[in-house]
Amino acid sequence: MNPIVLTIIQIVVVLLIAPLSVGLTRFFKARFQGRHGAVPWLPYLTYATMLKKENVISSSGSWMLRATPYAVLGSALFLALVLPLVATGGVLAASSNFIVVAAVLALGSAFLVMGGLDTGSAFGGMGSSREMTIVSLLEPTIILTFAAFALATGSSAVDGMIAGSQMAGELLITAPYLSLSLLALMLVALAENARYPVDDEATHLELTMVREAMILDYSGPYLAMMEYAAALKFTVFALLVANFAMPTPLIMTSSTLLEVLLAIGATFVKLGVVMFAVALLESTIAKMRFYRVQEFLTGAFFMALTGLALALLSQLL
Amino acid sequence: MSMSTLAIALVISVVGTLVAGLVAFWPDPRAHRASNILLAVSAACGAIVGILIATGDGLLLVLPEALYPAAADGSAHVWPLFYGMVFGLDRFSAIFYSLMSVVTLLVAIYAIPYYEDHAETYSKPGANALTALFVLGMQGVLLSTNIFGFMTFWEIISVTSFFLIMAGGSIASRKAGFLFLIVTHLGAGAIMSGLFLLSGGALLSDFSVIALITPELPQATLYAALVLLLFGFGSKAGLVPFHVWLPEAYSEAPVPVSALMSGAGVNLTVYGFLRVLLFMLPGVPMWFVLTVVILGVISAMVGVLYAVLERDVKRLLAYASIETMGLIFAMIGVGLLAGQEGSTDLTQAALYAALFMVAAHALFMSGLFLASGIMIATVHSRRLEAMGGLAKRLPLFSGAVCVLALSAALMPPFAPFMAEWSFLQAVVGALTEATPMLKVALAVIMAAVGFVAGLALFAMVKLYAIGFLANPRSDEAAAAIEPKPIFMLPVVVLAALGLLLGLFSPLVLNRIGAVDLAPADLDMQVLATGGGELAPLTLFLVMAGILLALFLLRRLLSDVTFERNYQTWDCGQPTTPRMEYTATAFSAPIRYFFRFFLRAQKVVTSTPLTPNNPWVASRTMSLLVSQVWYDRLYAPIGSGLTRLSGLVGRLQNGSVQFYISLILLALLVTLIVAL
Amino acid sequence: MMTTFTSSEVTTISLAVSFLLCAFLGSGKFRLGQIVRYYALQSLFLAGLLISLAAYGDKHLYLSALGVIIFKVILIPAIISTNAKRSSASGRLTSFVRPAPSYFVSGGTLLLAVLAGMSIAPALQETDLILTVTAFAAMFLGGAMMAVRRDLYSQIIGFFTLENGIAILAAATLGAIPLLAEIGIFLTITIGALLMSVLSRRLKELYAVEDTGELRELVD
Repeated sequence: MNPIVLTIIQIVVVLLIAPLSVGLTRFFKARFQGRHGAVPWLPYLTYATMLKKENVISSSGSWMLRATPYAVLGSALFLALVLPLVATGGVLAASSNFIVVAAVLALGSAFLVMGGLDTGSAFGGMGSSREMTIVSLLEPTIILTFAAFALATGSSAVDGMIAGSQMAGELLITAPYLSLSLLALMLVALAENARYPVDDEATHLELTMVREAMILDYSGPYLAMMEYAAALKFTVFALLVANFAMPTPLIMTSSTLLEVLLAIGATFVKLGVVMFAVALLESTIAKMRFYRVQEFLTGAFFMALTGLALALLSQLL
Repeated sequence: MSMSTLAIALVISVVGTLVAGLVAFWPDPRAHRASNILLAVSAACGAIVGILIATGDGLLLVLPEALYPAAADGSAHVWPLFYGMVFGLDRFSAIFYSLMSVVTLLVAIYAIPYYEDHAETYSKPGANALTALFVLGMQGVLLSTNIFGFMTFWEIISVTSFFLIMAGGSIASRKAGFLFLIVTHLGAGAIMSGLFLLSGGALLSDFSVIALITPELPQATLYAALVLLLFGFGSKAGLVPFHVWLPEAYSEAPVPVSALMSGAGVNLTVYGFLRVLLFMLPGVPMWFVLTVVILGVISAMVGVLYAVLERDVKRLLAYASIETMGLIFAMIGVGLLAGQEGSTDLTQAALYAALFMVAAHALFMSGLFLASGIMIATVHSRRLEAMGGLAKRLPLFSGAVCVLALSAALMPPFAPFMAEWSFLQAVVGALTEATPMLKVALAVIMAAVGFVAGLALFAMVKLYAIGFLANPRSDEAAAAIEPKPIFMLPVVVLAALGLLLGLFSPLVLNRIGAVDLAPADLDMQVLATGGGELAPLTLFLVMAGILLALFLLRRLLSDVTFERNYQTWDCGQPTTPRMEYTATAFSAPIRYFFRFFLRAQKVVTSTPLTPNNPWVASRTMSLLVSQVWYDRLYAPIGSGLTRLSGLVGRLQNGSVQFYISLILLALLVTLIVAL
Repeated sequence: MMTTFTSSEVTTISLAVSFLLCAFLGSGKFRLGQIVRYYALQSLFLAGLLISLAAYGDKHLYLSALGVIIFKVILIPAIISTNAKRSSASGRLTSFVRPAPSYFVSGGTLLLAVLAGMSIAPALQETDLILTVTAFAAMFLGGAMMAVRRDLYSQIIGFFTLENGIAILAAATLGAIPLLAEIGIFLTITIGALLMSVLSRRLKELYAVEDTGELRELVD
């Protein structure tokens, strides 16, 4: 199959299922908490409604306020295009170098932060300050985590890391120490996507917000873009973590039509499983006070460092 | 172009600079413009020569030979200018020469409106002449091929910067000037002694001759020279803990000078350091390389932490410069370390990444300093807390600064990111083959670079967001208007150059000799090292394509005109600028998380306005961030010196004749006893 | 052993001795006009010395001699006298010692200088030895003049005498120094003369003193 087709299939699938990720988590969480919960596909309707609503722009804001939704959604879209989520060996696979991925991730967050500050409200500033702290202190963890994967698989492109091990759980069986790195990646994913224990997407208390505080002043189509970007990023991380744990089945250039359908079906399953796990986590642990997030970040860092150290050690043996 | 044409252009660039310095004193109001334009033209000449030699294969320009083509019988008559001294440019120095010239060109353009607007603070002739002399010093350092020339011009740079830093005339700038003078002279002394140790005391022997004798040097001499050189170059580059002068000097100097010092001057330390290490020494011991790495990493981490905390825009940039220089020295150190441990791929990638970072740093740092000048001129304050709201009022300018800030934050697709990528990717690639010791070092380096990159983003977002976004925090900021085009032009050009240098980084790197890092068989569009590849142009096109698609989709899926302006939501109350997050508050989490190192002391004093209601009070907050090196390193040295000079002071009775007699006596005793 | 001198060597030696004599005589004079004239004369002999050296040595020294005449014989004395006149400085100079003892000081210094010169260059040929000794003698005479006198103008002249000594030493040992360095030195001392004269004029105007003894404390 043509690499271009692979990329197109992937981006279409990911774009289509992205809102489902948020919907599923909320659904599972409601069930855990004994509520009935909204249907999992509610976010589709929400986003469509937002697109039709009036766009209220803060009079304090500059062009940054308008640029932010594009940059944030663009960053998420870039990740959805280059990372191996549904297919490996796509046309942009070469751009999935882990340093580039980390940088684009940070770039999106930087714009989110600047957009939050541009409204001039204290809430936006608070959220921005917190988000910036989390993002900047996560940077070394991301680098070390991926470095361990790169060392074990011999590829610096995330695409290559996953394509190298096409058997279920192969990566973790041949290199069991990578489970630490995978755990670190999960912690990164939680922090990056405003999840427990770092942030709570469902909170209505501004003083505890991180991400929500930054997008308080967006409305209409811009809010739709921001929410959709968050959902997309969440989906990307969910599929990425799932693929590191179980890289098969993914669409490849050699795939038949049946395998393609199988892979797309598996994507839904993966997403469901991850969202179930996230909902379970969010229903069992408490959110951390922001000034304790340091412990979470330090923990993630040392987990990544240990993962890399073990990977280096295993080479000596 | 023939060698003699290049040589003539080079001479024009030097002589033009000198003439620009003289023209500054012409008693005519047009002298200011003439001097700066002449400086800009000379710099343009120098930039062209530099670029041609840097990208030409094995071109070597030697003055004065290139000016006097040999006669038919092979003899060339050359008037002995100075002990038969030879000046020249090879590829390595040409890289720095072209960078320096480009920055000078833009700074000279910027200086025209800057000094006109600040005529009551700075004397135009003085500032112009000193700036031209400063540039001449930089040219001389790069052109010199022996210790004498190198040190002479090095001192010209130091002395002119000293006067330029003090040009403001305030007490703070005088203090900064003297601090600079002390550190820079200690450094110059160290460099000179280090070089003399290497050359065996020869003043005028060519660098290539020194390279021949260094392998025979006794180990102790070599070690002493290395320590001296590291201190000399490191202190001038602002490596922690010798960096104390840098934030003071950069923030007190006139803006064009800060830009020139940070964008061109500081590069010379890297030049000098590498010139000695790579061209004059057979090899360096392991402890030295590790020291360089550790100093570099510590500088980068400390620099970036203080950049995050800083609230004065120029000091923030100064700390960001320390951070980048730290990264550069760390890269150099890793390159040398890898060379010792046999990872040659990493050596090349790391050294070229360091060089590329120098180039990127020159562009974004001078751009940011020039931009800070416009910000300061607009709000009449260096405090970020007095800014804000500029993006709305100065959209074009704010866009250029946004690009520069993202460059400085090591974001793709700008040039600094390409340097960071090359380095990190090479490190990851070298992990597999490396010796155990190198592996540990590389893992630590990776974590440190990640840390620095993350916090650099924090610092730059803070600079941009607090400085430009939201509502203006002062009346001056509220009244801001877009600056004059000529004021803005250099900033915009530097931002654009940073982007272009990033996009065409493989081409540039290949042309300056990094043939493994940017292989020619990949059309010079791909950086490839350590098993990874990066195509900057493709990356940029993908990003641009995504944004374009989003732009179109937004118009397709929603109604663009269906919108209105309304005040920011704040629980139903109107917002005021005083409610905005300040620079201090924005960086509070970092201050809290790193309190074990920063030991910031926040003191809030509240005085009730009415005696019976403690809640209505006026509060003032002061924040003191302690600096470990002052308390632990400089304070003891300082008090020791004061005690010593108290002892010496007993000798001094103020009579000139007494001093002269002492000198004579000393001379006489020396002559009779020592000889 | 008696050495026979060639005629050019005789010229050189006699010029050197005349130079030294001027320096010696100048060190005992207490009128500004006199010491400036002695300095000019001393520099003239220096120029002659350089020319005689150039005759059998480096032709480059002719240029140096020209420079000496322009700068040291004409320009510097002119600068100092003009400035002194403009500030209406008293022609009478002040010293810690009186004229007669000051000759003793100079004589003693001369002796020490000869001692130093002999100790530094025992292996030299006669002409070079005499030049070296002359150089050191001029340096010490200048230094002694600076140490003994109280007024600023004598400090200037003393310093320039010292500098002349260095010039002879350079010409005798190095042969010739490059043009650029030579020009640099000339410009430096000219500017030095200018600065010192202006300084003494300003002091005279502000504090009405010419005596460095009054300048012991820093004033804001």
